[in-house]
This record gives sequence, C-alpha cells and structure tokens, in this order.
Amino acid sequence: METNLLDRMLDTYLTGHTPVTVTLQNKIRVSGRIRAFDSYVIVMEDHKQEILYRHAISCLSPLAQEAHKRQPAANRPAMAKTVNPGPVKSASSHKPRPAQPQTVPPSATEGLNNNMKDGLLKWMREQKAAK
Amino acid sequence: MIFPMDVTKEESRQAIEPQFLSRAQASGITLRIGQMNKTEHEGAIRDIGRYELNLEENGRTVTILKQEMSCVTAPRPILILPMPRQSSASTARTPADAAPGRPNIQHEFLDKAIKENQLLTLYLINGQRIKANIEAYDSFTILLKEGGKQHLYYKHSITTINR
Repeated sequence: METNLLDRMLDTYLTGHTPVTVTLQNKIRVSGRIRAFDSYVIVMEDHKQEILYRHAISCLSPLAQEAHKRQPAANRPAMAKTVNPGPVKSASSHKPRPAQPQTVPPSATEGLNNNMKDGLLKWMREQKAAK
Repeated sequence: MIFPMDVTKEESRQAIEPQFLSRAQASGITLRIGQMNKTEHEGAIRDIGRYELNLEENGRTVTILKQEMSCVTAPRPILILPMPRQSSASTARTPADAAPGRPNIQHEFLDKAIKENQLLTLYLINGQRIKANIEAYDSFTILLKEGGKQHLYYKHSITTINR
C-alpha cells in the first residue's frame, strides 16, 4: 500500500499543470494551479499566490471538466506564452513590468530627478553662502 | 510457531477499515462518503492510501482525506464477518492494547452491543444522529448495519454512543 497518496496526487497535478480545486474543512473552495508543496503546505497560484496548510484540507480534485475547458480559452494562451520562454515565474512577472514603465515614467521620473537635483544644488549653494 | 500466526490472524481480524475499503475497491461498488463538513461524495474507490482515498467521481479522481471523512456507506453488505469473531475478539483484544488489570470500557461496551445485537444511537460531531446495529469495530472505525446497507463510521467523527 502506498505510504502517501496525497503527495503522489499533488505531484501529478503539479507536473501536469492541472487546475485543481481544494476544498477546506470549512467548505471553502480554493482553485488554481499547484505551484509547489511540501509536507505541511501547498502553494497555489490563481491570480496571486497563496499558501494552504495541509492540515486544513478536506478534499482535492481536478477542476470540473467544462470549467476546465472554458477557463483555458482565456488562460491557456497566456500559459503557453509564459511556459515557452523558460522559467514560468520570471517570464510572467517580467511581462507586465516593461509595459508599466513605458506608459508612464521615463519623462516623469527624469523630471522628478532633475527637480530634486536642482533643489538639492540650490540648497547646497545656499548652505555654502551662509557659511 | 503458533503465536505469530495467531497474532497476524488477530490483526487481520481487527483491521476492519482496510478490509472494508479494499473489498469495496475490488468489487468496484459505488460508495457514498460523508464528510465532517456535511459534503458528500459518491463514486468508486480508485486507490487507498494510509491517510487518504482516491475516489472516481463523475469521471474525475477526487482525493479525500480520511481525517475529514465521517462515514462510508455501501449500498449492500460487502464485508461479511464470521460469527465466532466477536466472542474471541473480546478476550484476545484486551491484553493487546489495554493495560492489564484495567477494564477497557469502550471495548466492553462495543463487544456487549455486538453480542446482544443492540440498537445503538450514534451522535456525530456535525450533529447527525444515526440509529443502527453494530457489526464490528477496530481501533479507528465502527462498522454498522442499517436497512440492508453497511456503514463504516470513523470514530473521530463520533461524539457519543447511546444504547
């Protein structure tokens, strides 16, 4: 008989990137993909990461078929993109980041920096003059 | 030579829960599993682990933790126990897992209920109440018979037993 069936199931869901639903003792359902697990906790990822304590789990199941098919329509392209470049996490976290700096900051930060520099220089000059 | 054989026999007799589950798995029967939080699952057993089960439910495999299970119901009796079991069990069991000279109240109570075929009332943690006859028990479970069905109740879900 197997020593730990739950570990084996978690491993298959982890390696298969299977969306799963974890039901907790208080009937709360948490769904997402399993990112990692050890003997005490499971790291789940849906939109953000969360840690589930294994002692609070009551049941673990793959996401229902139709939901599984419907969701990937939105999710899977993103998944595929993130998977291809290599390490999943760095790719996914990298992607949005270039978009943000491009839209707002370059000029703004420069302006800010220049303002600060000017202010600082002015202040230093004033201090020197005072001495 | 006789002693180890006797021990294994006794152990196999005592372990109701693995026997029940493996029979259910072998026969592919559809079981109903009630959980502590009153959710229910229905399906055939796929794999049996020490602390969890894999259940084939609507074509997908659901892993259920035994610690969260309160009862397993089989639509028909799947574990038929030999009758002489009860009388020998009470004598053979007490030295094994109880301090000598101390009465094991639980075993006495359950053995008596089995022998006299008493109707017991169980109260569960989640407030459920069950009236049934007890067929057998082991250290973690109690096997009940009620309306042609066989129920395996985990002791961790029981609060009280009345007779």
